[in-house]
Amino acid sequence: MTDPFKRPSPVTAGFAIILIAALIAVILAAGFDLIDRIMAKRLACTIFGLMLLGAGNILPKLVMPVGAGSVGAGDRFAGAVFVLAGIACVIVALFAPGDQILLIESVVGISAFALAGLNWSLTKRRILPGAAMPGDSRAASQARAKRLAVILILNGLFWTFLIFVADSLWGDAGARWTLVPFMIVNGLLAISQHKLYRAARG
Amino acid sequence: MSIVFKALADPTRRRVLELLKTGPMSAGDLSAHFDVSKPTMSAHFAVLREADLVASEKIGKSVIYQLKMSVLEDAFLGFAKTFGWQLQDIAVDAIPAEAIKASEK
Repeated sequence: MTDPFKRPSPVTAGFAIILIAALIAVILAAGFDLIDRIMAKRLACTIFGLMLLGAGNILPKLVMPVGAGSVGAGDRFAGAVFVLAGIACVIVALFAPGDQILLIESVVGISAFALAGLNWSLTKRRILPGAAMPGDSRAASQARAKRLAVILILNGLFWTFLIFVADSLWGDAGARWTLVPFMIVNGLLAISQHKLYRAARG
Repeated sequence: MSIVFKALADPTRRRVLELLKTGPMSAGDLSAHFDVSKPTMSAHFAVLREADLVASEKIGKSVIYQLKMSVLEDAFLGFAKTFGWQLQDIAVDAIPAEAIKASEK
């Protein structure tokens, strides 16, 4: 049998590292006034769009063991929605009026999450008869840990879009308050991730 | 990426991927949809696994396959299906004997 849960390709990891490095570079460049605020917004939002595209592209590939229940159809739909939304976000970041980039990009992003979330909630898990793999098996933990890594990225993007909306509607105070639930949710996901990796190592 | 293109270039393998879109299936159930020999089907499965387009698990006496395609690979599949994309140089006869042996283990 091939190992369905092998490590991600170096291309995938490289893509993620380059995007995160580029985002840090944009933040630093804006902080040191090397680029103006509008350009910083355009570049950062382009990177967020590419992150959404990349995470959406890989999501359907992170399959769970058959015994743990297949949600392939839901993942494929969500992946396609995120990829299309990512492309739309890049277009918005590059061509929308400077003062409206954040709001338009956020609406596109949040709509994609709402659509994918709705579809996921309606997708039924398919468990083949006889495929009684325990939910806490090592293979299941490995698969869940990998999925959770991508879900952490998606969660970060979702809250980023929410913070952008709060910032557009209520200013800095709104954005600051939106950070609180983001930190709580992200912290809980990170703790789950750590536990899953420990279980996966056995 | 070239291995993905090679895997998608064959209509039988494309049909296998289409069937797996409905959910995980056993090798036997998949083979029942094709009028080809077991070793030939095993070779097709081996190519798909090599390209990382399907995941396989042994459950009891059955080998269960499930789809493992990124959105981009899914788009390539749609493209290949639409344009009847086929490469002659990677017909089943050209599949290495080791790949067929490995898939039968």
